[in-house]
Amino acid sequence: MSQSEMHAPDDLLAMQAMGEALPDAMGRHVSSCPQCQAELDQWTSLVASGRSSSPDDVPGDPSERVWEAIADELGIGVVTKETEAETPAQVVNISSARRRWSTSWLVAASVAGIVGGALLTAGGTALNSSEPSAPVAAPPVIASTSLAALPQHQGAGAATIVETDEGDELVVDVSDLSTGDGFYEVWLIDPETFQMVGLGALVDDSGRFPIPDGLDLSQYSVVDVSLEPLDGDPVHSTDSVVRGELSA
Amino acid sequence: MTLVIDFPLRATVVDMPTDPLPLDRGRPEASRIADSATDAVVGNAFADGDEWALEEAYRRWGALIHTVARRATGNSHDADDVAQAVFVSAWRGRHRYSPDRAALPAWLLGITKRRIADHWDARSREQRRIEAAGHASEAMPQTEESVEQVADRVLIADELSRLDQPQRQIMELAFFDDLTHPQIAERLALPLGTVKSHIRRSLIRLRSRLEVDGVAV
Ligand SMILES: [Zn+2]
Repeated sequence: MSQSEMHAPDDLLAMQAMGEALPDAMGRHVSSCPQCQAELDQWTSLVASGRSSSPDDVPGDPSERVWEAIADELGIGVVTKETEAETPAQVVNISSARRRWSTSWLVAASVAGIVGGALLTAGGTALNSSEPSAPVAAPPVIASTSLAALPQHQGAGAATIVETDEGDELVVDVSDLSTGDGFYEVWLIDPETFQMVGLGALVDDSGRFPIPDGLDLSQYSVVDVSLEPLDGDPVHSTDSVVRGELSA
Repeated sequence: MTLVIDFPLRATVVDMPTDPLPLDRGRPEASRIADSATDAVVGNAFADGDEWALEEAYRRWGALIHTVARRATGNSHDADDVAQAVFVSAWRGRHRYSPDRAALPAWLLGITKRRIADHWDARSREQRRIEAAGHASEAMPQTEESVEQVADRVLIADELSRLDQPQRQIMELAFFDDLTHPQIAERLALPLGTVKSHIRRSLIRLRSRLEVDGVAV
């Protein structure tokens, strides 16, 4: 029998690292087999790390204060009780649809002065031009959802509506989607009327799609990624892979 | 307001795809962003510059990073500074993050290792000034190499805290309290074979966590 057929099983090596003796024949093999030795070394170092760990090594909860310091240094919005309290005075001149979707993110961002101008003035003049070295803040998130796989499918993702100078965009990030013939297409669906708008093909793990002007996101609230056959038929294939409903 | 929807792309009325929408209409308040997104989705979104992913990354791995920094530097205040520096430099350097090459926590731990090295560099400069002034010096306890060991310990401790019972208690007795397998069996009044098989399964799980989330080079 060749040596490769008799390598020690992984879990036996793990237990040897924990101090459990291997059966004799297996022990003889391991002591003369570089591959099993290398494997055993890994387990031994894992066990050594484990034995040197203590309850003080268990991470607790992330500190809110450190997060605020990070957000502050990067100039991005932090939601706090105080900023939420300032809502009514800050968010003005936006459509009712927009107001319905305005989030604490948006509010906090406008309070912080990051998107205030883009929101409150027509044309979205760029702000922060006085701070050329400042990092560009990511656009504010208006609504978001995670995307979950439908039965018969796998994959996961997240979708967010962000506000940009050119208008709202849907940002879709996915991973490990079921594969099949054809391509992925992103849709916004009205769950009441079942009307839907195809936004375009998703060719990568991530894509950005402009939201058509006037599309009411409180109505077209479901983000859907479908697998579309290359048949030239623009209608939804009904083969949805992942889906989620946007919320503010 | 009546919205007349003009579809600039294309719109069609079709039946909804077979399964009912996973709607959660009764949500009482704004839901946390992407609570249920997988780590891989958070990683992709982070690389893509989506701001929610930064907060989500902090929520998922901020305490891990902070604990590694606290254990490596020996104090919580320095760990605050290191953790802040890690997330700030990760976000500013997000274009250098490639989700295909490493999980996001592994990449963040790689940055943590460098920020801790910066911390010790600053400390040893300070030390040299003190020595030059004729004062006795304390030994520098940490090296870059041992930051990886610290990270391994913290990842293991973190994973232990996520195990179900009785695995969790068994592994804590084995690792934290250094009990032998027969001692654990006696302490918990469990058959020795049961204790060993729980340990075997837990070790396999610990290793896969370290393989995925361990420090990326
Ligand atoms: Zn072997």
